[in-house]
Amino acid sequence: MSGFFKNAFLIAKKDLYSELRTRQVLGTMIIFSGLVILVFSFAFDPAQNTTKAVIPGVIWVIIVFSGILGLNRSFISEQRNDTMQALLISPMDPSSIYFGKLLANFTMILIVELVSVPFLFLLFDFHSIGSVGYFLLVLFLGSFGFISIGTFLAALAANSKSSEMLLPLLLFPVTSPILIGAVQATKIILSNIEKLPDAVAWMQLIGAYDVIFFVLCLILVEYVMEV
Amino acid sequence: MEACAEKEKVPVFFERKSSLEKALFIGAAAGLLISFYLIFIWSPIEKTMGLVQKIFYIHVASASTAFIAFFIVFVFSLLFIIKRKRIFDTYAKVSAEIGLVLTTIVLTTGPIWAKSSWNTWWAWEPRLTTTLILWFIYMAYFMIRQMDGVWEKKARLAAVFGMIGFIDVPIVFFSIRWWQSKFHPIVFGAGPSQQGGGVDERMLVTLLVTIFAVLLLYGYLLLKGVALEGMKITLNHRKEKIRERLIQ
Amino acid sequence: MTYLVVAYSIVWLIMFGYIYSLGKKQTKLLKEIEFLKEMENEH
Repeated sequence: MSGFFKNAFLIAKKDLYSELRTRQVLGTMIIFSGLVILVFSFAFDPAQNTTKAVIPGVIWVIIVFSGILGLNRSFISEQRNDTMQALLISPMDPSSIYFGKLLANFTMILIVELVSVPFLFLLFDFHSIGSVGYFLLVLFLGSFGFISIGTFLAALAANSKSSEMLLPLLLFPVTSPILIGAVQATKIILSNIEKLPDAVAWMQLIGAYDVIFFVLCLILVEYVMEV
Repeated sequence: MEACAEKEKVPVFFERKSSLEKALFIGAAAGLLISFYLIFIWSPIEKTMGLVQKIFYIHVASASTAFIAFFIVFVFSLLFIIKRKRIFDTYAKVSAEIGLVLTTIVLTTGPIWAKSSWNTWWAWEPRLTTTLILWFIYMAYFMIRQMDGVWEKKARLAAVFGMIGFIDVPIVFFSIRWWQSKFHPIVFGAGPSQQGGGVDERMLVTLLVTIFAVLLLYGYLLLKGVALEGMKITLNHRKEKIRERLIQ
Repeated sequence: MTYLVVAYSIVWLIMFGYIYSLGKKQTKLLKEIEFLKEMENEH
């Protein structure tokens, strides 16, 4: 068991370190999230008060779309560098490779959120967060679920030549419960804090989804990453 | 090579039809004819919705059979992952195909019914929305199957996704129902519960007969599709053999 | 009434479309089998 975590941390460290050296993916993700915000400011007039209602949705659109960019890279880059085979034949469990990749992707999406969400609030002049703690919690839970199933499906899609196109098709329908739950919970926390029990219930749903799919992916990833 | 052939073995009905297939064909045809009679002539016309309510029978029957088809996909995916026999993969593939056809029927009859009774083409009603997401999930399932590479890889990946997708369905349904109930306190019912306690007995019988008939049709199509897939696989093997002989 | 007719015709269109595609697949396969049989006889 300690080997599992050791290997996973090793993989995560490797991915993050190579990301730190090249700064390809993270930079792209952050710039992309800025562009999404820009596009949204054209689509919904930031000067109008009604725009505040779409902010929870925009947050999750940013996370989902920039997350897809990072997920696409996480296994493709291994294949481009011909290191996928090496990873598979190394004395590591597929589940620890998966967990390591998950940790790396999760760290990256958290960094993207750390930059883009304050930026969004700033640009849309939004400064009435009901409860910062709960807001962070819902971001954490939602991103974890999205990234855990996303990393798994990225490993699956990496077997295809057109995996960049395949991944969104696989990922969006499967993660729809997270997206519904996260947007609803964020909406309540940001603008309707009196209804906090509802938000907590949504977070419980996301939490349950996270646990179910994380465990399921750990079990099934062995069959996705066969040599 | 021999072991591989053993693994890929699929029972083939070349020119002869299995008796089960024949029985299912007759059953499905008879069942559908009977259900037609029951739907259009025997069952009473619903008071508030009128004739349009008769869409309900085929709509619900297709939906429940589609759900069973996807459950079968799940079962055979699991079996394939454990046993790695090609026959299980073939069953899962054909079942998903029929499930997709049935879901398409649900998704076209649903809006027509919605238009006539709620005067809107689409309502984000939990069951209908879940069906839509289900449709997308199994479309993605076929995208995996269209990947390039050997069948074993495609079958393995599709089986994994088939299991993930099916486990996702109840969660999707639950979350959508919850989401919708926050906005529309009045839940539209698409099922028999809509008529409250007063479901006409004849309506119920008609519904059950229709469901049974569609199930038989599903069974027939499943066997037929599997036989066709089996034919295709054997044919490819033979082609390969002839090709080898011609090269020599 | 029109809705009912439209709905049922779509249902049967989809169903027959699917069955037709199966049938087409079958005839194609049978043709190939015939072709292969001829080839096997020739050699």
